[in-house]
Amino acid sequence: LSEDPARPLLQRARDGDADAFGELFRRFEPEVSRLCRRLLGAGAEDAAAEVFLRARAALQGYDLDRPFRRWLLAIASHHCIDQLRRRRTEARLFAASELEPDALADPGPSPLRHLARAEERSAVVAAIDALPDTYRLPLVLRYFNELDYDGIGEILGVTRGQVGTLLFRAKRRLRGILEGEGGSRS
Amino acid sequence: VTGCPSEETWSLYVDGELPPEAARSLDAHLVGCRTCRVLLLALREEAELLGEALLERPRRSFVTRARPAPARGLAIGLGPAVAAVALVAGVAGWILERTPSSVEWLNPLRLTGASEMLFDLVFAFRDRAPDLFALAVSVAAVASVSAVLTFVLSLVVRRRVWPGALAIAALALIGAPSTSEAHFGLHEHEDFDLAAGDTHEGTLLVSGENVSIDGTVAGDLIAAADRVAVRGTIQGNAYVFANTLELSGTVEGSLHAFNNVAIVSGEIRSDLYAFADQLTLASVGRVGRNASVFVDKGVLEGSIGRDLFAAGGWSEVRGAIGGDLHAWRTRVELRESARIGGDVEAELKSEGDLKVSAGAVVGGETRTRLADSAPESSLARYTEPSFYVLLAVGFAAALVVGMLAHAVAPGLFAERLETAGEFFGVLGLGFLALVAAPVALMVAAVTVVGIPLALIGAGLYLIALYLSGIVVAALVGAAVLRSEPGDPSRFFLALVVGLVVVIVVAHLPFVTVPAHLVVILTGLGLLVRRARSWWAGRRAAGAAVAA
Repeated sequence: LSEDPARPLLQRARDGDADAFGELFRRFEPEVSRLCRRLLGAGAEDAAAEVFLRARAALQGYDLDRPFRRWLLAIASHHCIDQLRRRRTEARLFAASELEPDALADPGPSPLRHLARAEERSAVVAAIDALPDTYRLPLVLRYFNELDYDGIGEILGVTRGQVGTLLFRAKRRLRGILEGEGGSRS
Repeated sequence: VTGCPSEETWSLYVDGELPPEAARSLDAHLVGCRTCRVLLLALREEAELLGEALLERPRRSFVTRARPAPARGLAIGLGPAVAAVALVAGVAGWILERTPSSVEWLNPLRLTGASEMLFDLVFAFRDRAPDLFALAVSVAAVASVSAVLTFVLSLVVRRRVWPGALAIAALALIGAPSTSEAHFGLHEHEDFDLAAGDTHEGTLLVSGENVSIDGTVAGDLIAAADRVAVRGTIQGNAYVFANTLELSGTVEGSLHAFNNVAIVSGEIRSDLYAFADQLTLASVGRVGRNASVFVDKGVLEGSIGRDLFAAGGWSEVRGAIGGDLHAWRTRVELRESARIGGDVEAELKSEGDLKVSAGAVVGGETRTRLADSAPESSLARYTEPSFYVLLAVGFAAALVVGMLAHAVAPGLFAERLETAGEFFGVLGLGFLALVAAPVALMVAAVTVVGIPLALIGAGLYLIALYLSGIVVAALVGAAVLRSEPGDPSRFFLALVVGLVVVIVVAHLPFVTVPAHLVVILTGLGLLVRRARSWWAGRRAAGAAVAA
């Protein structure tokens, strides 16, 4: 097992070294910011700073043997989901109907193919941003945080099976969006 | 398709979220279902793409890092490689000659079965043992090339000279790379990307997980990868060994495609040689000159400037062909939109194999003839000089391999047969090995850890099949010369005499198949007996050491 290269830094930060924490911030801030933008959309400007405040407070309880990036991204995800819940009138993120499994008879659009060019990839990101929360959140947690279904379910408060259903529908939506605009291409 | 798991189930499979027993049953389904394999690959690719897009991980490009090497190095390497391939082809041809019909699936000429098996194996490897994937790719490449060569040889034998000559010329081109400079890079599990606007001077030789060519290759492209996408321009020829090939750009020379799935929606200025499980020439796709397709399933919607030569499983023509259509032992459908400028000439396995829809236009004549169902039984081949050339090549290859085997493992040739009872015992043992080994290999291949074992086993099985003839020849030769079997001083002479006897007997009219069978069964039986006594000896030695 390779050791987390940030480990000495983490140790110092946990012991209260402000410079070390500043270095962690500098290193991980861009990624945390991006995650917040993907999860929150509008209003993500202050989110990263708040995530690092939360992280500093929680650092005492952080187990150095766990990968730091995962830990930090989990804090960021929890923070963003809290924000989203607060924005809503009711605390539930998902309507019951959205979580029910369904039998999709039609084959639906086929999976997305590799896109080599950077601008095409940013089109994918834009399409993800355009998805409703219901589908955007599991997709981001799966492919940005690289969480398994249990991890995603824990953050979103749904079951593993429901995570599978949400992800499947999210991808279909995404394909629909991209196919719609890319129809004239190629 | 009924009976296939849903796409949602496959998504769970890709994400590794299925319970192990469910995943195993999907594995079993995958082996037999091409539709699901294609879907699974696409879902994997999509997952990869989503990760890349969200994490903004740039795809690594190796063009800038690859060090230019003089093309001479490539040429020196290619000489032995071509020689090795030629030897493999000779060996394969020899095996072919001595393969009884019960092991027909080993016959590389039956491209459908061979490519199916090959790609299933490669697919399973990529899935289960990514570290060994590079190995599988190279095995696939060598096997494809040898299949191609044996195929070409058979074309020559059957006097189908033009595609054979073209293919040989094409293969010869591999041996003559451009004289400028070559980039060489092996990047297993990594991606290679020649960005749009970039130009690569000279031959580009590349291997990796994904190879994307968006820019220009001012020379030949030789690529071995899981997935190859060409959206840019190849100014020379392209040789692509890949699970999936997508060509939407331009190949100014010829394209030689060895793929599971090949999709051509771009332009090939010269010739197309496709050896693929599935080939699609999209409606916008264009082949400037001739197209030779050896495919299980081909859909040709685009245009072909000159002739189309089709062999393999099934081909559907929807586009325009400037010249003739030659179909060789394949099913062909000419759909409404098909336009054939010249003649249609088809050698068919059965009457209904050529279907011409109303509306399809054939400019010239349509000639069909039924293929001889059992060409082996006819005496015609004895009048063809090429038959004797093949025999001579097979003889030389067997002699070389036999001498090598004797040098490495003289024990292989020490077995002897004294009584008739012993002979029948060996025959039974050989029969058991011939039938049981493939079954055992297939069972092993179903389990996770068994795949590498099955690959090794399949290799050993093929080697044993080949060696069986040589072992029998050595035994026969020793009997004729009344020398001790395996006597080193007279081994060469014994092998020469034995091979002549065995080859002549095995090619006598009417007894070809039973003679082959007896030779293979005897040889396999002897090898199994040898292996058994070697093993017993080891165990005894081990026990002695322990005591």
